[in-house]
Amino acid sequence: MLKTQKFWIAIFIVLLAACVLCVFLFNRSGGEVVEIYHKDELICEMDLNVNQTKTFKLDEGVNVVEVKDGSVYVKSADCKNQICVNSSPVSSVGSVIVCAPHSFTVKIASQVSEDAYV
Amino acid sequence: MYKGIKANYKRLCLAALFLALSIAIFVLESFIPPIGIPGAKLGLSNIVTLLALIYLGVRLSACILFLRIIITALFCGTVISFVFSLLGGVFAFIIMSVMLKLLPSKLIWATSVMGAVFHNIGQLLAATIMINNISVWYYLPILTIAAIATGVFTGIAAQVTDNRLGKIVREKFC
Repeated sequence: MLKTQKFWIAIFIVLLAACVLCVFLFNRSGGEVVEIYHKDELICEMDLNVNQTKTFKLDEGVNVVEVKDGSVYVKSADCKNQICVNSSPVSSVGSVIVCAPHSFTVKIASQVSEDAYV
Repeated sequence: MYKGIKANYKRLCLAALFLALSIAIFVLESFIPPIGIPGAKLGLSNIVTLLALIYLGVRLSACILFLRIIITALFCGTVISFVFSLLGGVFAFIIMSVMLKLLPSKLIWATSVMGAVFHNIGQLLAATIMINNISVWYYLPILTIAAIATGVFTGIAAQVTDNRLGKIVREKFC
């Protein structure tokens, strides 16, 4: 009994270690989506894993959003305070970059809704 | 009576008890918000599934599992949660029934952990089908970590229950 007990404990520890390794190695982003809101309305969605640049011409001005290497940032904008441009790139779910003068928000959301898991 | 199901009234009573217990635990557990990883629940009703497999065999446990999933989905779940629950439960059930046949009774906790891990795999499969996107599998490592943790917890609960009550239940009910 003791031998099989040790065997299974060993298996689970190895599995646990493998998963921790996986998480740290290449799981920074997976299936995450960049949501672009203008005046609280979703106007665009971008894949966080695909390098791309998009220009948004709004009534208030222009914002250029770039997705690069799994994070997103505002490349340039013609707002006065430039807070959005000076914000560091974000990559984790829930983070936002806001351009207040343009009512423009860049948000990272996960793809599966949370109440789906039971 | 239907062929194949042992229509022993004592076993049926125990099965009904387990079903009620399973539903009650499930509903209670739904009030605990998932912390840390999205969708990582404690899975306490798995204790009942496991105990049912030990004392009542595969057929009755399968009935208990399906009825629990259907009833809880009807009363406090969505169609999506039903699909997730169903696939997760079925995967967990299959692996647990196999492992219980192979492992000695001291290793019930190991069955529980594997059940939890496969439950998550089943749910990821449901997610892949639902949103038609393969990238949900990125969640597998982190979900497996949660599964091992919660599986050990429920496994210990089931193990301790069997250690203390196993003899009595087997005498009186089976």
